[in-house]
This record gives sequence, C-alpha cells and structure tokens, in this order.
Amino acid sequence: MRRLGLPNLGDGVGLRDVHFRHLLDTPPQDWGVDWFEIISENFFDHHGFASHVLDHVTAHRPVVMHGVSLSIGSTDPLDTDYLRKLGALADRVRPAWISDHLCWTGVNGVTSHDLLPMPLTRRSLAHVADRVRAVQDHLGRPLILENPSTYLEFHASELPEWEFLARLADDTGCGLLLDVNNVHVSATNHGFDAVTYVENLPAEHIVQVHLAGPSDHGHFLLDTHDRPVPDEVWPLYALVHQRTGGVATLLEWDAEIPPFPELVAELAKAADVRAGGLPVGNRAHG
Amino acid sequence: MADPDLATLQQWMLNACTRRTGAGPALRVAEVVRGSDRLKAAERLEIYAHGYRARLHECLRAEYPALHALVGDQVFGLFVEGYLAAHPPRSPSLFDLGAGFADFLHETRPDPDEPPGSPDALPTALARLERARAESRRAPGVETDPDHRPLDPLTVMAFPDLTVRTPAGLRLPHLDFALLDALAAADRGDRPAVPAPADTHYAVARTGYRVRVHVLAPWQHAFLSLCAGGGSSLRAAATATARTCAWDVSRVRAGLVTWLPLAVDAGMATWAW
Repeated sequence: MRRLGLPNLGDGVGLRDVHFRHLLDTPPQDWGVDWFEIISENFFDHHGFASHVLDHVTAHRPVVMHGVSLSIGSTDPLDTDYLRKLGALADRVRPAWISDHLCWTGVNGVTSHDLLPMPLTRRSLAHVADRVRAVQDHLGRPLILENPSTYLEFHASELPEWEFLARLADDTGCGLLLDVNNVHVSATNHGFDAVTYVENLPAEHIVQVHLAGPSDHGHFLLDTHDRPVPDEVWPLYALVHQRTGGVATLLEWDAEIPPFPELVAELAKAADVRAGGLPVGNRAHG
Repeated sequence: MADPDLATLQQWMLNACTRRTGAGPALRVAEVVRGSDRLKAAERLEIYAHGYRARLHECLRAEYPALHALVGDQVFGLFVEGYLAAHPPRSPSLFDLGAGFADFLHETRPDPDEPPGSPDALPTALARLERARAESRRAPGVETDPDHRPLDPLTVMAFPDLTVRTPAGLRLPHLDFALLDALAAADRGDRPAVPAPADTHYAVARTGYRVRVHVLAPWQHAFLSLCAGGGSSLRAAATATARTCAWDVSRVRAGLVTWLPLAVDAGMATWAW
C-alpha cells in the first residue's frame, strides 16, 4: 500500500559511520536490511569517506533523508541556505522521502542543536502549517514530520500532540513519521496514554515508523537511541501495523552502536511483531 | 499572566537552555512550563539545558581528541564553556561548531605577549592542526579527480610547463610545535606527552579517503602554497619558491624531481599538461 504516493520500503536502519567498513566489505545482498536512513545535515558539503559510502549505499538500496535542523516551528525565517543544501543533497541522493521533526531548534540565529518542543496551540499550528507548505513548495514533495520525544509541556498548549499532528497533516498534506519510541518516552514523561496517541493519528498519513531504545533516568525517560527497543514499545508498533497495514520501519541506534549483524537482529524483531509475536526481556535502564 | 507569544517563548527557552543571561524575556519557569509530581517545571527545563551542553561538549571532544587528551576533561571543558558562551552555535551543521575554536583559544590565551612556542600557544596550535584534519576529511579530495595520477621524476625534469594544483582538502598549517606524536598518541587512545616547541611546516592531505599529517621542509610548504587556488606552472612555482626561500631555482627544481612525485602520491597535489 502506498501512502501519499510513497512506498513501504520494508525494514531499514540508520547509516552510521561505525558500519561503513562492514557495508563496503559485505556484498549488498547480504546486508540484511531493505533501506537506509541518513541524517541529512551530516552529508551537507561532504566529499569524504562518508560521502563515498553513501554513493555505494544509494546504488544498492533506497535511502531516506532525515533532518534534525529544519526548525520547522521556529519564529526565525526559514533558512534558505539550509533548504538549498537540502535540495542539493536530495538531487544527489534521490531519497524516497525527506523527513524532519515537529520542533524548533533555535531562534534569532542561534541554534541549540536540539529538538525543542512546540507549544501546542492553534496559533503555533497555523505558524507551522504555513512553513510546512513553504518547505513542500520548495522541495516539490511532501514533507514527512516526526513526533519528537519531549520532556516538558507548556501551560499555553491547547491540543494534545496527536491532535496537533493530525490537524497539521490534514491541513498541509504532509506525511507523518511515527516514532513509537518517542510516543512511549513522552507518554511516560507527561503521563498520557500512548495507545490513545497512536489510535488518534490519521493512519493514511503515516509513511514511516521509528523504533529505538530510551534510557530510564528514574523520574523520566531520555531518548538516547543506545539500547534495544524496550518491551513497552513493541505493542505500540503492533498497533501501528494493524492500523496502517504496514509502513516502512526503521531502527535508530546512535550511541553504544552494536556491530551491524546485531543491529539487523534487533530489526528482525519488527517482522516477528508483524507476524503476531511480542519480544520480551528488554527494559529501559539508566 | 497572559500567554507569551511564540517568539518570546522560544527566546526565553533558548536563553534558559544556553544559560545566556542579560537581555531577554523574563518569564518564570513555573508560569510557562507544566510541572508534575514526576518532575517540577524547572527540572524539565534542566533536561534540555543539560542536553545542550552535553551534546556540544561531545561534538568538540570528537573533533579535538588530541587537545582533549592533552589537557584533560576539566581544562578542555572550561575551554568549551568559554567558547560556547562567546560563540553560541549558529549553523545547522554541527561540523561548523568547531570552526572558530582555535581562534578563540588564541584570542583568550593567558599571556598574548609570550613569544611563539610558549606553552600558552600550545592549545591553539594543536586545535589548528586538528581542525585542519577535520576539514580535510570532508573537503573535495583527489579520489575522484582525473588529474590525480602518478607523476614520475622524468616528467618533472622534462616538462617544466606542466600545471600543478593542490586539492581543495589540502591544508598547510605553519605552527610553533612538533605535534605529530601528540596526534598519534591521541589516535591510539593514549594521553600525549607535552609537545616540544618547534617551527614546523605541515601538510594535511587525504588520499584513498585517509587523512595524514606530513611534516614538510619550508621550501616544500612554500611550493604547495604557491600552487594553491587555481594552480601554477611548475616553472613559475619553482621560481617563486626559490625567491621565497632565497635559494637558487636550480636547487628547487632538483628537489622537486624527487619530492613532487611523492607529494602527488600523498594527495598533496595533482598535475595536468
């Protein structure tokens, strides 16, 4: 099934430099993954080894460009130089789609290099929707937006995050990258029901799922991407699969990254879940 | 109080995360951020403030491993805190974060009147060399350049009008310390010994996607510098090098016959007819 005209790419992983040598030395038919996701900004103006590996990977697998610095919610003007570089990279990589996050990263020219939360108000929804439309016009394709992990909510917020995203998707035609780990993290940190979140997103707009493992800091979960997917996340993934009929699935692992075969083994649990199983034995730990 | 507008709220939160004081919206965290039994409002904001510092410290430690290993966590952390306070990140790319670090260390060294090679100048020198390595890793290199092919000594002797160019990724720092051992120690995961003062000409070059740091003779450094940009004829660069070094041009030409083929192999130069 295609969503927003976009295919189900299967099961993929993030392209990370610790795996470059493995990917060059292993025949592509033995990689064990269907597709890769890159962090867009890491490849801006890059002409070195990482770029060489990316060329090899794009020759053999679909690639998705996933950004962290679009800052779609900022009150700064859209960064035209950033959009130019994003477009140039897309011309080269020919990604299946381009994604980023529902967040802002900075204001007045200073960036935090973090995914900062939006006040979920009707006014900020209109603000973000205008900018999503501008980015989509610039890129000539739908933008795919991910729900971030958050650690605070604003008194000013008027809408739950799922409703904000649903309205945004309906208003702009953007796609959704549903990070079920982030739903689990934010639900734990803010005390909302993760199932309600997943059930209330418009399934027809969900084009990708993220899986990852957070760390438990006692009073809160932190989105660290440094361990296996915890048990609590798999039922959410199963629910997304049930609601969507299957969408591109990606395992994120960005710290304490295991060897590639172990990454593929963790990713394989997603297929088990789709077949009706539920992995157990992994809890988030600090 | 009335809800702050989005711009005000974002400036307030960014100031809180980056711990920038002074001018800016004066909002009370408990009036802006929801607290709960699990976490107070200020604790929630602190997660972002801690994440900001941790992420940028980690990024600079990764870019400057030898300097970090040489001065240790505490001093390196102070360098980074000062740098981020003076130069908060403004680029969407984390690669740009460390671009001004060496200049910052230079501008803030304890005693600017100390002569070259004094201990005060060591962090700056090491940072300049490490930044050169980082830039060379990402810049256009010789790997896909059709003009990068072996050059034999006979060609150097017989064709003085061939054109020599340097790749965009070549960096030619001239520094006051002998730093190769410090880089090698850090690359092995060891703490480096304190580098000795030494007027040293470096070439940071990449071939086969591997960056290496070379120590050059001053005339070699001068020659490559003259070939940077759009390139130069071998004859013109040799003549200018001789003038710079107060050598006879025949001595430079003789040196080039044996050295330039090696420099091409190492990714320091390309050549064309």
